[in-house]
Amino acid sequence: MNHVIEMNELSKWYGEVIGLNNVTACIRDGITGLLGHNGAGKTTLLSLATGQLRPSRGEITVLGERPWNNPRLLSRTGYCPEADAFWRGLTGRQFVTFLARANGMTRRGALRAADAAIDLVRMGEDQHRRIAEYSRGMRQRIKVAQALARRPELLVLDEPLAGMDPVGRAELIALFKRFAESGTAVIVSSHILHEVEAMTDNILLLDHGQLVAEGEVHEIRDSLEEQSHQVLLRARESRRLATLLAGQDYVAALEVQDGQTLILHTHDPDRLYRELPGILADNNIACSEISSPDDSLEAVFGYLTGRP
Amino acid sequence: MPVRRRGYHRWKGKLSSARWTWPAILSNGLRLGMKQKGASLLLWSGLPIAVVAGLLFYFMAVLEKQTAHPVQLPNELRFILWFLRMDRIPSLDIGKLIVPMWTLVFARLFQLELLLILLVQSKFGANQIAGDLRTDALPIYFSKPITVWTYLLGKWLIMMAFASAVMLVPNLVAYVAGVLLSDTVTQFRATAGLLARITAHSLLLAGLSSLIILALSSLTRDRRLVSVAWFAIALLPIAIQAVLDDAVPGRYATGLLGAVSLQRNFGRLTYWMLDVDGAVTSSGHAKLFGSAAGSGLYGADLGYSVAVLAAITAVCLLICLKRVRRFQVAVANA
Repeated sequence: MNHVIEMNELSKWYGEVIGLNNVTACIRDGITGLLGHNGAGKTTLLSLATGQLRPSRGEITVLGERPWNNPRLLSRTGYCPEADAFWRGLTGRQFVTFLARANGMTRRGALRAADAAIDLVRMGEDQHRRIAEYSRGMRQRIKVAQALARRPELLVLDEPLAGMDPVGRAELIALFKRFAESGTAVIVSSHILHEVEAMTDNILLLDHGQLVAEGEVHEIRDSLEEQSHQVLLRARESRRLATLLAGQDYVAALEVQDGQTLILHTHDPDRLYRELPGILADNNIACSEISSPDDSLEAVFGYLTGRP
Repeated sequence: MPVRRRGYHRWKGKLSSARWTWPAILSNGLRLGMKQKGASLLLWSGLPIAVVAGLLFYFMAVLEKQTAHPVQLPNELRFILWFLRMDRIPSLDIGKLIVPMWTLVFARLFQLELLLILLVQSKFGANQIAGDLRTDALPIYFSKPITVWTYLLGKWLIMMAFASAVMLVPNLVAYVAGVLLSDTVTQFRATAGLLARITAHSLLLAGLSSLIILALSSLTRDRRLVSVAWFAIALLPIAIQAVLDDAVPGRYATGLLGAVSLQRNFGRLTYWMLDVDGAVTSSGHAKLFGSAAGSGLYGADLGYSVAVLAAITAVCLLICLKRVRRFQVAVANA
């Protein structure tokens, strides 16, 4: 697996404000979610990766090159910013074509590339309308189109799904997955966890400019030894099941909710899953659901940042 | 097969280097500018001036033929000669006066066109960088292989194009009309040098004014503030200059205190670039032109004006560079 972005003690500060603090990480092929609350440093990191900021300390390489003051590298990356940066007098097609030409394409090449990119984001019918008439979701699509036009090796997307309806979100997520499968590295920055969860397991979690976690969600979860795992069970005889499980040494705590739901806290989920079927079978208890609410991005995020 | 099902094909094709991305910025800026209300009207407004100048050149050509081959002038032309205080001129050899007269006409044209430049730069230039700052467009620009220099070059050329439409184009139209309405070959031979001068000076004035409006546009996100500042810079010093002209002794008026207003400095530059004094002197009838030759305020101490304009150019360029580079802090802090 290739390392698309490598960061080594990367820091960026603006006077007394620390944007990014001593981040050492690698981003690989495929889709990587860049997570964090507002002000965590996501945009700073993306700005460093797209060559718009110079590191205050440390270094960052993108596709093997330093991005700062490197226009040649920028023609290999596509960036979809969070801000709605539009020239309102332009149509969607003119917008995408202009930015394709700004990538160094000839006029004819830019027109062809724009047509294909607009078709990919399903804006073909509205491409000749002025951007000022677009809805929020349409503007997002056209922003993504301009990032795709050049067919970059690295796609950097800052809150690409903001303001989109569920159908639009699903379409774009499918599109990003397709790109990732075709060999393009995709970085998606978002503070909406379930969106990122729908795209990838691979995350980079920032908080107050620092790297809090890196890797796949369940690996990160497993590494949080001090946090007990939650397991949710649904059974009609939840109270009898609770009595049976209460005596087990791998169960740290139990909680019965609404008569049929039992929430277990355990530090040894593997042993629980190994022994639970036997307990249920021996005592003839039917269980309609077994799930782990905190093997989710939201839970991991909450544990690591200390915020719900 | 629909594009969506074809998979993700890496784009293959030749790319120009980052140095050549400014044409895209230029064409986009021109397209956006022309979409503004009243854009065409403003840009065409220089042409009536050119037509009037062309007619003047025609009358001069008629006068030249009159003195070379005297014929009875029609009454209408006699009236115009009287109106222009040129009714005694037929006793002179107009041929020798053509170059200084054309030079003076163009000098006056430049003064009128400066007013149009004021309006054009305000309309098209105020929002050039201010608009990009307001809409956070700079990250999207600089995520492409565009450098700060190519960005500023593209923006400057946009303003050069609009400014040239009301300065260079009318001057060229007036010149071509004058040549075509006269004895073409002779007239062109006599005034070819003037053509080069008016072209160079048009481009110089367009370039300087474009740089000033870009610098102002880079200072704020509000285009209205830019317009107010632009008019203030252009007009207030004229009033201050008028006060100084009355207040200070004459020997200071041609020095630095005589180089306060942009209008005065541009005027001096115009008279020097067009070589008004040289044209008038070589005609052998300098007294005929009197103060119209401008040897008083415009002919002297050009050095001060050049220094002032050079300083303004340097300051404006620095402002543009610093402000465009500084956006990065604003973006990351947002």
